[in-house]
Amino acid sequence: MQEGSGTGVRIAVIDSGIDPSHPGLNNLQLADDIAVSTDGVRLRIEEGNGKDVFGHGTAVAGVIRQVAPDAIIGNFRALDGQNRSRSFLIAECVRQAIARGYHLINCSFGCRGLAKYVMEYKEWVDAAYVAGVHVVAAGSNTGDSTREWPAHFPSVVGVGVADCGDDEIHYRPGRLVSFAARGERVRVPWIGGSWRLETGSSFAAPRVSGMIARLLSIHPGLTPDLVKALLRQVATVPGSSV
Amino acid sequence: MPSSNSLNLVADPELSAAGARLEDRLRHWADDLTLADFHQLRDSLIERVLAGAFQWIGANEGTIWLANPEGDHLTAAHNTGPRAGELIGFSQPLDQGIISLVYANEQAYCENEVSCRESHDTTLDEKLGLETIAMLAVPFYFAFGLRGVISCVQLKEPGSSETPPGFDTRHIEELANTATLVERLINSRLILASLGVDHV
Repeated sequence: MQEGSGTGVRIAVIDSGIDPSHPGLNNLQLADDIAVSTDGVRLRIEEGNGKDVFGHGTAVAGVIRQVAPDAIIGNFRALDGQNRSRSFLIAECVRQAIARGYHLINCSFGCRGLAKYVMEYKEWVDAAYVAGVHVVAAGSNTGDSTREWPAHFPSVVGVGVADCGDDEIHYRPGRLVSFAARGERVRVPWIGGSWRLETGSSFAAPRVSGMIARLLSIHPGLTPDLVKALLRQVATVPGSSV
Repeated sequence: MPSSNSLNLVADPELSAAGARLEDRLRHWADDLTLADFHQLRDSLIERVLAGAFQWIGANEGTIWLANPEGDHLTAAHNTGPRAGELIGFSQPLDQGIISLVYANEQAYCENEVSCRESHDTTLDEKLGLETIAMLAVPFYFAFGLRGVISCVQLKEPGSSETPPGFDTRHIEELANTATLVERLINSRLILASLGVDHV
């Protein structure tokens, strides 16, 4: 993982869009730049035009770029007319990403893990798993008692926030959101060429996406199962003396 | 067979069948929620829970923002600060600001250098005559849906040399858990009212 830089690994960022012109993204060339939205009746798949409506997606791309500078990044904006994300828009973004040959999907968002939403999320999480596409998702900040989709699906790499260094990853045995990385006071690029100091699992998840991209660039073809097992091997278990 | 749960209390099949109707009823009720409705809902227990959490977090004040029925604005419905009268009723479009972001991606969010960025929307600061230094916001659910955002801030008085310390992950967790607790309190009231046993 330390030797890789993400070369050749395609990461789909499903978020609020990416502004590739931000200096913090180091001349990022987006492999794809699409916006999936709805007018209430039909899905619309349009050009993203380098637009980030909030800044969150640019921040996520900035973290990935920092960890895996040579990874290929694609933007999949998933917001409706009021800039609100919907399950079916996210599902369409995933379908697009799988069809376009992405190896990894970063999901710095969460949907409350109610039973009625299970199939909406399970269908695309399973489709990614079967296709060998890695899904990394930010976990809830409320602890283990609160389920959140997609982070609480076992085939997903669920990531919480740890108080640790940039290159570290923590493993939390016995939890569905079993990994954690630095997500506290992270300086990230934002829209308008600005920078922000942010805290949250949204910024820990892309750090792990970047780590997996580094791993895949050295060992392409690793399945989601194997990657999770390898992450567990290299991660630190908090409180462990080993 | 009725499902069991971690409480070792077996679900009543007749009540389970009514569960979907109850959920629909509350969801429809909340879809048209007005500020006046919410003020009826917000009792002293909820206010104490919120005030205690904001104090523990080290926030100067906190706000509950509710999405309007059209889903295009968030409106301040409750505030614990000294200028609550000015803030309550203030609406912000759902396409700008941190609270809109939290509503969009349903993830808690924390920023500690709010006033340093040029793009920071100063409308509210100007309205209140204060400078927002740090902001923490979490999604707020009740009545079986996402209804808005709970936020809290650390503020700086104009001309003050003291800078607040900011928030960290412990504070995010506390506010998120508080939002869950408030949700349970509200849902409990709504369900009892729907069953006609709200005197319990």
